[in-house]
Amino acid sequence: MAAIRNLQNEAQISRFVLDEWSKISLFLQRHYGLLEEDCQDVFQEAFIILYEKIRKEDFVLTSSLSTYFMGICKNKAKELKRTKKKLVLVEDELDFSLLEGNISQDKVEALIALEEDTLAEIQKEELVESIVQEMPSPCKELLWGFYRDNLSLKALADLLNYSSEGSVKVTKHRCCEKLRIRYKELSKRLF
Amino acid sequence: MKDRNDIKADTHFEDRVSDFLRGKLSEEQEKVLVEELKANSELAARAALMARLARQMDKLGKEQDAALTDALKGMDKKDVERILAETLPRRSHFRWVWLAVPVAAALLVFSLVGYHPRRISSLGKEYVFYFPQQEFYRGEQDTLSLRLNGYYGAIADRENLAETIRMLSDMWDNARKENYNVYTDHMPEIGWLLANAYLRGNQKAEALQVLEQLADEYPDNTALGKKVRELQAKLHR
Repeated sequence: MAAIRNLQNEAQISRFVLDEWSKISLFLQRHYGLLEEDCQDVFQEAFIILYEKIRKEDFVLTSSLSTYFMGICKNKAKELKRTKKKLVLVEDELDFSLLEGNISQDKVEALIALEEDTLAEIQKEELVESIVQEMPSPCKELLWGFYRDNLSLKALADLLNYSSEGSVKVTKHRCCEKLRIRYKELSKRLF
Repeated sequence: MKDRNDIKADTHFEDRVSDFLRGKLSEEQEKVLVEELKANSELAARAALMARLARQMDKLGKEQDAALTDALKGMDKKDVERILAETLPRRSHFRWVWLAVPVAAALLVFSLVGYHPRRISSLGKEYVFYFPQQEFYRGEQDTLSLRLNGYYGAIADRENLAETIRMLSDMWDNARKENYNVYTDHMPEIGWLLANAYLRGNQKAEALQVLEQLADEYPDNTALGKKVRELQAKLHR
């Protein structure tokens, strides 16, 4: 059992590493002018820092783990840039700008209460859960980044390599439309 | 059919709901929004869905983060370092300078010899099936998706290729319009089919144009974005 648990833990960590690497590597190359090898060094050092922080008793996460980790990577990249005295291809002080304010559960409840629908609450939650679990790219990266990681449209454009914030907004809207249509399809099947 | 103003109104509505959820609206703005939602059940349903989505992602995200932090707490540092080494892309053991000469020679050969037309056509046959239809859709298919399904075989076998290209080209133009229409949601599949249909017809420049348009929409950390760029790289050789 312990061996199986260990394998599951390793798989979980690998998945996180891959997801974060796919977001961060190009961002670091583009915005800090780092070679891929340097990005790997930054990523690995940042991950060990994350590991050591998590193991401290007073560790408290106030954002998503992804956003927290990206912050560490950004700081390590700046450090490396200073030591190598590299020229930066674009502006120096790029930030993973976060949206102001977290999603408030009270506000969520307030909007849900205004809905007129015959489906039971639990059925609606299950439908949304299945939609969230199955969400394909690019909606998955965009909507998780916006709602869970609290990233601004600018940060999403930078990380996910969109040409502009406007482009992100349009794609986000299309994703919301697809989700709405999918929710309706799944709701109909329940009757 | 939605026009540009409808889409603008929709995105503005989504912004307002997002701001409401984050407590960024003033009391007066909140009141106005709630009154609108009470008067319009369709808008209320849309807002409620956005709220549920945000809540679900927050819930699942917290569960995943908790599981991950537990996993990391239970690991030795050397195991974490091993996982990193095994998961991240391998580094090249060769200095780039040792590759420069053979790579330069290969580039020179390709630029002089060019890319044989048969090779371009066979790329279309190879790549069209990298994204079979089920990759683009979840759930039931509509009439258009069933129609698009028929094009995969036609492109691979070069059946009525000119007509297939003409039909897909019209669909592609419609899919990329600002107005939301029946083709909009099928854009990635239409684009992918069209690009590969052009390749089957040895129309490399046209294929590259479509691929560039797809690359604008799909970043390189998406499955489609990666394949588009891979195909572009092969065609640019």
